[in-house]
Amino acid sequence: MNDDLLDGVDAAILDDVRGMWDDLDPVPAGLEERIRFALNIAAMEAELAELMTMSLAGVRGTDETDTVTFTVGSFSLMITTLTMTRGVRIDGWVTGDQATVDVVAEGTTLTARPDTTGRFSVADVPRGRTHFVVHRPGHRPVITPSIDL
Amino acid sequence: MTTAATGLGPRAAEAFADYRAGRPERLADLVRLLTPLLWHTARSQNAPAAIAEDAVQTAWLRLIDTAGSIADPRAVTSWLVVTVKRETWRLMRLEGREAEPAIGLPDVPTELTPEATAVLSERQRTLWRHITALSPRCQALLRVIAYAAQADYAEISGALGMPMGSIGPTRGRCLAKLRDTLMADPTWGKDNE
Repeated sequence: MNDDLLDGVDAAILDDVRGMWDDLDPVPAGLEERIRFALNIAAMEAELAELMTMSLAGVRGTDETDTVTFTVGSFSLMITTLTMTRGVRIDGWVTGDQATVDVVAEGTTLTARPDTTGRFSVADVPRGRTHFVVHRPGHRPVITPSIDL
Repeated sequence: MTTAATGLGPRAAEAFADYRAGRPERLADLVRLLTPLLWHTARSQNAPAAIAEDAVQTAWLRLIDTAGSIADPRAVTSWLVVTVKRETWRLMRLEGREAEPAIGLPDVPTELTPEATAVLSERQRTLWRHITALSPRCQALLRVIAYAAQADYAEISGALGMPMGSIGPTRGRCLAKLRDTLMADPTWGKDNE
């Protein structure tokens, strides 16, 4: 088709149509993020861990510590988060040794190397949406759903 | 004002070409550019929100599985539209729903709900009246091409089962009809021309 046969009036009408649908039926909040997340998992051929437990110790707004466990198959990742003045401190434990844990926060990825018992600690994690990617020799990577720190 | 009519297609093609050339981070740009178009493609087929989300997400996953088989990067937009439409119809059949071009909003009756009315301006309510007077197929088509690039209209019309055809106004009969009725409506106002 010839582009020049559509004129400014047509373009203005379609702009109006688009604006109307933007207001009536907007793209759901978070849809793009969910798509990007699914694409990451697929691209990495990763396994998706499930969020198993989430407990709140302490009271929100004061001494905030959360404990979260992710599992897939026989693999588990447990993390405890502690909100500090300069971001969040994460203490974690992962099954198996020789794993590395990527803490993927907004705009930055911090990598932790657990000790032989699987314990690790990461300080100064920015607050916000965060997920974890665990790499283990001989296994597919494990990626967790995002949590809010 | 016509960003979507001039820039979207080329920018999507460029992002997709970059992605295939070994820049995986460009996929996020493609998702940001095209997700509104794909959302409205699914919703224009009468899909409830949950099915629309699944269909859009599935289409993106299929794209990275088959990225190499799309010969021309410029075809990525229409490829995704076709895939979303087919996936929407498949999911609707699984749920025993009838997929069809939607009249108005899938989740609400043709008449605007008070909530929907509240978010629209007077001008948008006029536009809504004229749009809902069109056939369901025209409504669905106009809703989708409003989010597309002009260069993609013909292909997307075909993908939605409404080829523009070789005869008649290039703008297609749906847009021509909407334009006629809007121009004949004194409340639409001269500032729109």
